[in-house]
Amino acid sequence: MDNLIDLIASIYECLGGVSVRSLIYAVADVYVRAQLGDVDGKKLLQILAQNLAGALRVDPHTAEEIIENSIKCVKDVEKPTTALAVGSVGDEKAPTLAHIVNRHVPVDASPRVKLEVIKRLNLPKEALEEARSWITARSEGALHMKSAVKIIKHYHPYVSATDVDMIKTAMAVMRKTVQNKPLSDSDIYIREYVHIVDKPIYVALDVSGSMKEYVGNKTKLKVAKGALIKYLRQMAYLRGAVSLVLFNVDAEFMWTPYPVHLYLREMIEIVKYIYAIGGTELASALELLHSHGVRREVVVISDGRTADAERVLDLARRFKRLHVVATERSQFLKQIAKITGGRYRELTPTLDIFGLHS
Amino acid sequence: MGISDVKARINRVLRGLDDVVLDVLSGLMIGRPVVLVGATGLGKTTLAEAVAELLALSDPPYIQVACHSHMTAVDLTGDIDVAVALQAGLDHPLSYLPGPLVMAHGTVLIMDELNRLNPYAQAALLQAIQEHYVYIRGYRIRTDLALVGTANPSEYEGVYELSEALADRLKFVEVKMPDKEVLKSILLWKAREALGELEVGIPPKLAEILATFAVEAQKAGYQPSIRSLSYALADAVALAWAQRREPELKDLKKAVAANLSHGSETRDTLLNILNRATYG
Repeated sequence: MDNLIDLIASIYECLGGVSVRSLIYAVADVYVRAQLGDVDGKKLLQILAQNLAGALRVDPHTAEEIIENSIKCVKDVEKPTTALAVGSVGDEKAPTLAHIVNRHVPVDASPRVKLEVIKRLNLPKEALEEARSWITARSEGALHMKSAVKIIKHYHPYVSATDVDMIKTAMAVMRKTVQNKPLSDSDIYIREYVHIVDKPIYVALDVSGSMKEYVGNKTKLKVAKGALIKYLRQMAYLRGAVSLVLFNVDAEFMWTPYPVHLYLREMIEIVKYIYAIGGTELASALELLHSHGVRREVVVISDGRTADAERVLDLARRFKRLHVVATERSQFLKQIAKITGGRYRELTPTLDIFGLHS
Repeated sequence: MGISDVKARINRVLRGLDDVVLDVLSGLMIGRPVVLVGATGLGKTTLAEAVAELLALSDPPYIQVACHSHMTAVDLTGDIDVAVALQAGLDHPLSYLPGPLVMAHGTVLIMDELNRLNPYAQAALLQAIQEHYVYIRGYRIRTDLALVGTANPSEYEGVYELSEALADRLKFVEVKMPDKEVLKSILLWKAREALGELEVGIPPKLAEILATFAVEAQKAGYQPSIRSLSYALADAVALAWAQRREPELKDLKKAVAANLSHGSETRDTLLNILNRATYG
């Protein structure tokens, strides 16, 4: 009995969650079917497939294949992994958490699946006390995120006063006053913004050995994690999609863009497992993002001690709005933010990464 | 009744589907509606009827509905008969015309071509499955039924996707083409049944050719129907009998061509496969 339940639990985890109702019926069905006739391994799979086919929305034959694969996926994860290499600052190669996880599951697996893999790998988890932060209301009464101006148009009711384009409005008012004409609504110009929450945001987090340095009583990595978690919560509130890239010498997707409000708990859990190791190469992260067609709205969290600064600058020119959060003051990172039209902030325990977008 | 009895009774009408029968029974035993999935002519409906007759939950042993895309929820649940209700009042027993969902209370409901139901009818079915009652004009009517559905995944004309909630509550059992030897015996047996009182022998060679043809056609991606194949066999034999000679290959080819329900292009391909099955 326990074996079957374990098997079903592992299928559940590997598929990233399926209908529990169908799973319960599947267990019952296996037992009843065993009373009626012989049930061997293949038949067991078939019965599971028959019961899960509806939930997976495929025909029973395909469902059988899916379930067979999902059993294998768990077996792969249970293999003992090699001991982690310990790295330091420099250009030493060492696998990041993302590299380790992606050996077992596809890059675009959901955060839920990835978290399950991490748990099975028995990696150490860092305790994080999260700074409680309340989202402060801005103009519209809810968190609001604006980026580039999309269009400037005439006044219409119910827009917030902060969206008024003061320069154009002042010009119009001046012109009307000079011409001695009455002012009207059409003299007030309103900016309409691109809301970048519509598009996935890519966060590249530096996990090189240098992130283990202390600022105050915490490591840089820990401070960065705290800020990242706060940011994830805010993005969940806005229903945005976030992808996390980890890089030291190599870069890899920790998770590809997923809606944060669906996976917030898993994402925060995964962040707690991230560790720092190896050398730094910011260019690797930018190359990875560039190769995936990402051109804008990237947040880089790094200390700026990269191996090949020229290559980074070269790559950065291909991006628009590359926001940079520096863990220590860095002229280099400031320069990157400047040439891409992004913003530069220094990491403090109270930093609001979200502020970069507005 | 033991398992062997069950198998023996099913074998009176269907062969090679013992495993599927047990799957259906185990599904019904845990109270889960079962849907038989497979191509036409493999015996899905017959199997459902045979299982219902075997269970014999009440008299009649099952209620059968042929689902279609224009079926409304009212078609499934039944409705108030206005004429009776006006004369005798709403509480008169005859003022309500029960639909299949309510008539099948305490017995088996066989829904043919379940995947043709439109979303409105699916909602009524879902309520009956999940809550064990249906609402008709505000009256709540209890209905407890064992549902056996059939669905043909290969046809997509006029087919609605089952809603996620409904699909999650169903067990899908695949009905497959049996292997060659079993198929041969099924064809012989069914053709014999179709010929009825006609006292002629069916050459086993012809049945074997047809069975080979069916296997080859399936490999080529077609879904030959056992029903039409067995009728084709009976047809060939009857034709030869009418002309007072032994059934031959050309009779079989003619009969297969006449019984295959496909377009002309598909028919040519299938006849090619039949030629290869005959000589190769």
